[in-house]
Amino acid sequence: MDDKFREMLTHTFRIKKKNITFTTLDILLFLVLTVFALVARYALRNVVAGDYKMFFEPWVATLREAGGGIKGLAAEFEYVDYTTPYLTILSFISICPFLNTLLLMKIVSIFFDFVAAFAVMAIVYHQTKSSTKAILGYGTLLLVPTVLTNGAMWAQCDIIFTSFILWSVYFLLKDRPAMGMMFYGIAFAFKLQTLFMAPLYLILWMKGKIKLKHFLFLPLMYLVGMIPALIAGRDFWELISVYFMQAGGMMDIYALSHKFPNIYQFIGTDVFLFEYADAGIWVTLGALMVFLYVFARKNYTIDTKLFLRMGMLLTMTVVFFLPHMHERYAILVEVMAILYLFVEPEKFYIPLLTILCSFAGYTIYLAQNNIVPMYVYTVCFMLLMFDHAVACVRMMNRNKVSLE
Amino acid sequence: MDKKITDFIVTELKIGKWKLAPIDLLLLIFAPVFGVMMRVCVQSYYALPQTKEFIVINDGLKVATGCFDVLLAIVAALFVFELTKHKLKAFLAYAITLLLPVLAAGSAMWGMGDSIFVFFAILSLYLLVKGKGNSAVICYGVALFLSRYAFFLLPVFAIAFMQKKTKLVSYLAPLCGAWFRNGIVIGDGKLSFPIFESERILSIMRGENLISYNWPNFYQIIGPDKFVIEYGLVAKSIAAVLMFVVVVLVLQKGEELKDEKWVSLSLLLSMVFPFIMPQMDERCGLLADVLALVFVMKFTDMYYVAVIHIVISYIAYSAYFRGESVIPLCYVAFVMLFLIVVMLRFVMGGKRFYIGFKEKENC
Repeated sequence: MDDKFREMLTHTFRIKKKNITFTTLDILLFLVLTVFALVARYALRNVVAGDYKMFFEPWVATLREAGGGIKGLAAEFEYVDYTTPYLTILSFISICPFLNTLLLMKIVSIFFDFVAAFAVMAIVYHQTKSSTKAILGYGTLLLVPTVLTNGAMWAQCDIIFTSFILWSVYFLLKDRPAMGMMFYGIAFAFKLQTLFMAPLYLILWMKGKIKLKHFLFLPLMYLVGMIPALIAGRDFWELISVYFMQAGGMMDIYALSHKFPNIYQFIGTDVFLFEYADAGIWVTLGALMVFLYVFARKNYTIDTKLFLRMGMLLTMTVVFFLPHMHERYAILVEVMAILYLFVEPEKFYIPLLTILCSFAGYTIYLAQNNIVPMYVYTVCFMLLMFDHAVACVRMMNRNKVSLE
Repeated sequence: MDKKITDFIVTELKIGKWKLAPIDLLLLIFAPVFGVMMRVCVQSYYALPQTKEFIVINDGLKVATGCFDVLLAIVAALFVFELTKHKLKAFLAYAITLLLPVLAAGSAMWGMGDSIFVFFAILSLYLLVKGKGNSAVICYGVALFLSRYAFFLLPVFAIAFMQKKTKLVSYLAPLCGAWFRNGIVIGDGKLSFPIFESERILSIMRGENLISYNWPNFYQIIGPDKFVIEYGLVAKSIAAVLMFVVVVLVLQKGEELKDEKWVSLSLLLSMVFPFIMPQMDERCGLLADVLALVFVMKFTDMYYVAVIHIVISYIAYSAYFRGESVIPLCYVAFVMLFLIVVMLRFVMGGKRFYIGFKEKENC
């Protein structure tokens, strides 16, 4: 009996078509992780964050007043910084007869938590060919505090664009650049922060992994995303300029960093708001230019480790120097750090510190707790950037390609 | 098609006696563009009392120092090329110098003329490394005339003389430089030159109530407002002794200094003296910032020395701009001490403290 039970637990299944093998224990692990991820989200369901009261609730009310659904998209907002795809989701939420708005918004984000988790599972499996590691990757993404609180507690939607970027990464690693860029385009249709990854995609183009024509997916997907609002009768130019308005927006100008551990935590987030805000953009561009120059100038091949390290370094450079960064804006770095954990497990400190630094900002926002000064986290963040920069140089040298 | 474009971007073309790729040219063009834009963003700020005359002086100085920032970047690039014979590193030194926040803030925001003296100080070291000792000393004299912080490099030129790199007569330049400067800034001499006017106004505003003005040095650890006069005199004596000791130790070692050794010694001195000298202010680390950049381009595995020093410098700047530092300066002083120890180990025994990777793996 005991042996039968043990045998049952270790029984191996095989999906021949995809050449995937897994055991009963893997299935159990998957179920346990899923259930606990859902339980943790259930526990946070009633938390109402300030953003919901200040922004989301009035937006949904405006959409509802305008008729909701596609019709609701014709609504005139006093201020809104989301593009059509997410507003469409909100507009349908506004007329949904079940549950309340807050819960529905959280359910949407939680759904995309799982979309992202499945992407992590696919990427980890692609890299390691281990079902157990892939499922652990899935569970790790679902249970890290930042992802958990972002949607289920705060009702934010950063995971939506992140999940599409993760699928983009998956297809790029599988050498399917068109699909990869299509998902990147979809992510771009949802959020401007997608562009934090743009320097990495430029390097991939320089190294022949992507073609120039694939970048057309960005405007294409943005235009596709606009269709519901166009049907509702919104002005084309108004829709197309949302990101320009966001970039020049005046909403976040009261601090140089919004609880994010970046360079402004060293020099003060509350002075020279205009001078540093403008100069910070040029510093960011300058820093990116220097990195891009080094990464593009040298001859080497990009493997998964280098891909992730570069991705993390370039994204961290953006959020480290750009002004007005929010605590949530390093989510791309966090998910890449989780992926890295399964590619090089001995570097476990990378996801650990990355998530710790980000979550410090979450805590200040959600719980108004500021126990450790923010500059301590900035030091951690900077050390991680050092680590990535050193690793990139080392890997580039190791993967050097001779021109002869 | 894509391959043709990407290959073209990195393919080296012969332009005169240089072999440059289009990507190099892009960097050469865009680094100053971004540098200028950074400076334009912050130039409307006036750190000192805004009288009509002062604004004219300050604006003029902002433009002049901006031009010297570009010259400094070029000299830094040449210096790096001289030390490494590595084109990519030279281009990087050029771009990073132009984009250094401390340099941009010092010139375009604060309107102080430090990049002019740093330019002459770095040029003097470059000429020394190139074997043009006498020209180097004359440049050093100009640097000393423009700023008291050039004083940190005095032992370097004393060693250069003892090692027969320079002639004694050329030392008239630094002597005159220091003498004129003393007459103009400390004495009653009136030379209505913006660089001295800004400094004069700043020193009048501040007085001599503190032994350290926001520079994270030893006095931030023991308290910058106690025994200002007494400690000041003691510190000056110690600094003088230290200068002499450094010269003697280097000469006793019997080893001829060349190339990167000049740079590492200069960097160490420009870190140590601000740490112990009295009345050091936020801008006294600028020379070390640029020197650290040149140094780490040669010793890439010590990259952190430049990054940390530049961050420390900007923390000191922001302490002035804000009125107080976000991070207590005593903590920052300990980090500075760590850098000094690292450099001291390097200069004395060539020992390196690695964070991440070793020289053989560097680019």
